Amino acid sequence: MGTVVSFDVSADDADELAVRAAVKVAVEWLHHVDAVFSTYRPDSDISRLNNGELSLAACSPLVGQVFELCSDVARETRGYFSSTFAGRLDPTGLVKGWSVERASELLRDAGLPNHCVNGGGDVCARGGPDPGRGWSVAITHPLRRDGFAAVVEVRDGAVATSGTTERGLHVVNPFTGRPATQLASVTVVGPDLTRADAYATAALAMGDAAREWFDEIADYEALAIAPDGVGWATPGFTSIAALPT
Amino acid sequence: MRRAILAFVATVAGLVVLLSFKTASGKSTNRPVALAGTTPSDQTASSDNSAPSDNPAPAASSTPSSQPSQPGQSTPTQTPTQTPTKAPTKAPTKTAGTKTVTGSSVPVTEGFRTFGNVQVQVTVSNGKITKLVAVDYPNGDPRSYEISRYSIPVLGQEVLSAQGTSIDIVSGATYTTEAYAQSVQAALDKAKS
Repeated sequence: MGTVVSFDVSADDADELAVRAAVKVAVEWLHHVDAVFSTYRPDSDISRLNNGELSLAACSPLVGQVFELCSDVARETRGYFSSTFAGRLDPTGLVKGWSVERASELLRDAGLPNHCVNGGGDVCARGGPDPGRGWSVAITHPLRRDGFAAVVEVRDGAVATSGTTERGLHVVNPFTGRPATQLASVTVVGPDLTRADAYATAALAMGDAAREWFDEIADYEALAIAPDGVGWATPGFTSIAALPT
Repeated sequence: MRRAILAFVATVAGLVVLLSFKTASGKSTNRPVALAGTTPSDQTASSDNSAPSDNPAPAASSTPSSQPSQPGQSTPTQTPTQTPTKAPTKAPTKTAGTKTVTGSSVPVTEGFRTFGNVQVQVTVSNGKITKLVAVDYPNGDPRSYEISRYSIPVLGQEVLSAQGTSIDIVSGATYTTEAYAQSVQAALDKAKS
């Protein structure tokens, strides 16, 4: 996938070895996901599936799970989330959020309820860094280099940002085949990172129509910023976020 | 209770980029574990310390040896697995409790394209990162320059805030992140030795 994943774990001093062991397991999981799903690796299951060298049944069972999720999310997003690109299977848009979510579950199951996993800017947060507060997640502003667009406090939830601020316009409207240009970035906050990440990407492809679409999506809130710096947020988002004045 | 911050590059086996511990007493007494043996301090990183933010451009000329690759240049394999090849350009500078070290020059890639290199100079005072300066960053074309101008300060801020300011995590992806983190870690390794 070619991204950085950071782990932020709140734990007692005495648990340092347990933290290291749990993080090691989570890291191994992420490497495994990369080996199965990377479209850049010719030996990955996805690449071999695309090249006809491997049948779906012969792939890792994770592949079937992910495509099932992809079809659910495609339906939920009215087709704006797509797991094919240029005629090839490419579930990349879902795999990052999903694998980070699972990495967080591994930490939780290892007895570490207070942690935050950040996969290249897509954040899964559980518990809090200190007793009595959740994780403060700052959302980068797509146009201003010296400030954040908002800060949200998250206890058990996810924050994902999808944007066109990086190398060119990498999100394509699957209905027109053209790059999405209406919005510079979309941030989605919700209970599950798999969906938050995929919804952010889909909303970017939808453009301003996403504002209405979010009305029918329970539990997920969004902040969008257009290339001219004008933004909108769902009502729920403004109630949980600290927005700069 | 204390907090561990552990970052790594997912595509490079076992590469630990940042690892620091913080005592969760409300004071910013974090210290990078990579600098074991140094004394934690109560010094707080001020926003001034995100120096790369304000003026990245002039710094680029200080590393004439690392010319950013031109966009469109292809690389034979997936480049995230590439290891930094360039040796640090600067020996550690030592004053009482303060060290300034320059990390490796790390290529910034997306897919099969290489856009340039990121190289970060890190100042450590009493075991705490107090300043990050990007001495090199992709700037070979206007688009890369724009991205660097935007992302480098955010990355510097993220490293500093990992040490205990009010923000815990930053959402919003940059491909520059990976190269930046690798260079910072290389600098921390240098500071430790």
